[in-house]
Amino acid sequence: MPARELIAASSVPLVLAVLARGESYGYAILQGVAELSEGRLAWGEGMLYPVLHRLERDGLVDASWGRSEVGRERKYYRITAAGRAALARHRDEWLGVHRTLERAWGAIGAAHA
Amino acid sequence: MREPQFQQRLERLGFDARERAELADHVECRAQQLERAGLSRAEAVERACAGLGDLRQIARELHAPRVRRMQLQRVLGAALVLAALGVIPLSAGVLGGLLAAAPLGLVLALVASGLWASFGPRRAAAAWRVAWEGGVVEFERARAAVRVFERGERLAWVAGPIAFLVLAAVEASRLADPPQFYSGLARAALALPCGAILGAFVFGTLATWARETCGDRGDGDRLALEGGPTGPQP
Repeated sequence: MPARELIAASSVPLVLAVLARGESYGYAILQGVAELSEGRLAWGEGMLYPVLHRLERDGLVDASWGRSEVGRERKYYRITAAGRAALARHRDEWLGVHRTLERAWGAIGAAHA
Repeated sequence: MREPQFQQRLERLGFDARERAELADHVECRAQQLERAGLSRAEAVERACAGLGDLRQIARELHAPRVRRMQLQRVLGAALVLAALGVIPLSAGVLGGLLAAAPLGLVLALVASGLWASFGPRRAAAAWRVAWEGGVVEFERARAAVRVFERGERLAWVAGPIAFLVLAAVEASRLADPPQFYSGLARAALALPCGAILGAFVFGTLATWARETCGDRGDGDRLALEGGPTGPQP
């Protein structure tokens, strides 16, 4: 299981990435994250909502109310253009870190060989 | 927790109707999944409610911007009161005004020098910058700000009585002139509310804000802390 700090840092890009695949709602977003992470990232379910509401306040996602298949009220979220731009920024940053670490570990491997 | 109890608890914690509907939808989705996995309806709902984690914490997180606005209002209100305590007596003439402003000035000077001595100018100024910038703040900066504001709060509470004693001692030289002495003593007593307002409403509020911001380094941190499976398995 990744460190809490890592999970914290990845929460926003992950939610945005799930929403980039299409409009979704709270529970389905959690399932999307679980699916993407293959169960490796354990999120406390309820704390997804503060993240979503913050993204909404920041204009990175839009929300609207609709009905579930059984007629229950449901809040749907969709990524905005600003959200896509933020996701692209996150992606660049994470890829930068990933490449750096890969090179660092490659160098360690070469030194040990 | 059963569904009605869950709704009541959400209401008590200040979730509005929309927020309650969203969380209820989440609980229903999860409960249905658990029912499909073989749990009874009651068990499924109970586990789904529990899976949401600490509702109080969620409420705090969801309502944090509202709370911050209120805190900012408190700080601004306190600043206005302090300014009034110092400036309004200026109508009594420049000298009178300066004397009346002395309690506030002395309290501020004591707190500022205390913070300077404890943290140095750079760290003290950094804490104010954190408060000024607001929004999401790096954890370490917010934690440093908490220390500064908590110290400021304690210093302000102590600075009020100290300033009062100092100013009262100065006024003691006018004991021979009782009207002058008593009005001077009354001015010196202004140091007490100045210290209390500065401590409780300015530094106290800022410390609370910074403490909350410390927990705001990313909701995913609490997502992890809250625990609970999110996958399809019951």
